[in-house]
Amino acid sequence: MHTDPHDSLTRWLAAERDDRADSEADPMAERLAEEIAEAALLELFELLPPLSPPAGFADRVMMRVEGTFPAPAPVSWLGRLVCSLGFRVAVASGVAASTVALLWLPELLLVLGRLVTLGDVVGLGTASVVDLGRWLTLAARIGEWFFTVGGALAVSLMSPAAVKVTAACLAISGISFVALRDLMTRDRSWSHVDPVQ
Amino acid sequence: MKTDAELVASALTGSQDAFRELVVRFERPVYSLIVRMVQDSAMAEDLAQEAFVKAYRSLRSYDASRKLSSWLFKIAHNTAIDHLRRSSPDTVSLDASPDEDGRGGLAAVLADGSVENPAAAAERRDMARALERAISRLRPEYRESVVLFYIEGASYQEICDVTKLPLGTVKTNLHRARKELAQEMTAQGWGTETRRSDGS
Repeated sequence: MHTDPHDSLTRWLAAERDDRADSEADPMAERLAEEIAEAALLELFELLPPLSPPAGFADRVMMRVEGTFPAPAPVSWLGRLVCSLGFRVAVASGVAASTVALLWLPELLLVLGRLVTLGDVVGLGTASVVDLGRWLTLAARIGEWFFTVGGALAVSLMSPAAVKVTAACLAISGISFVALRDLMTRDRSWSHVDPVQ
Repeated sequence: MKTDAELVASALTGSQDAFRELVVRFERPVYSLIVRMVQDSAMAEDLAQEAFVKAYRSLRSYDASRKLSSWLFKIAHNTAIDHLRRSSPDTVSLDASPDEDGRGGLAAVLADGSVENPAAAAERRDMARALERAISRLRPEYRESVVLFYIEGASYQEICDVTKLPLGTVKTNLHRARKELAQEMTAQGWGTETRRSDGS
């Protein structure tokens, strides 16, 4: 459809003049002028030829993303680990080292057999169990201490004053978070860009 | 013809053809927005490519309940802003002849010779240049809203999503932009009978 661009332009500019004249007098007339102006401007913009990128644009985009194809499919962390080059190198190195080590295994067992007796092995096992017991006891005591401290804190935090202080801290944290997020978002607003020209 | 959501789903499974189809479908509106923001056709092509690469890389985060065009416009918006913030804006005159910037410039792109007769073609070209010049003189936030609303047909809500501005601000920006465009066109001598007789 070829609308006469001059007609659209004339209607638009006339409606803008009417809008200005009516803005203080009649809200209905102002609204009508606004609608006419908008429609005429839309017609005018339709007359503008579309701005397209140079031919072959899609091919150039595909060349830039080529290295990343195929698109990463949803894979679990375990899958990603197994697929990673580092993991494969580590497994290959482990297998190679084990294969080489097998050559010296009989000699190693003979040496160990002369050095370590059955009594040593039993003694080592017993000592390990005793050590483990000690560590577990220590961990239980530390846990008990935390539990006691937590209980004492909970009692003191139940007081109205402490509740107020906690609420104030939470509010300050929340406001700070919102302000920070706002700053980061505004970073991409046009007010943070030097105006063109 | 596949829908945008179907193409996105195919691209996510590794289909290059699907992503290419998306690029072909949206290259014009994305480029159109960026070229009007940065006003440099070569830079705009580079930034539009960058926007599509970013879109590809974050395709998984696309919410299929939203329009793909809005999502792409948002990426284009961020890419253009990042570029303008990185460098001092490098403007290209819309009056520049095609030889001056080596790529044809925006005015050359606008000079569509497919109109019925030479006089009408000349008037259409002059008016297109005047309108683009008026658009280029708007503040960036007004210009972006004008391009999205009047040229790309985006709704108010979509513009809010892209620019992260409140609805009222978007409406006000469009209203003021229209007034400034009208003033600029009038200042350039358009909208009078004398101009028409000059142009024909």
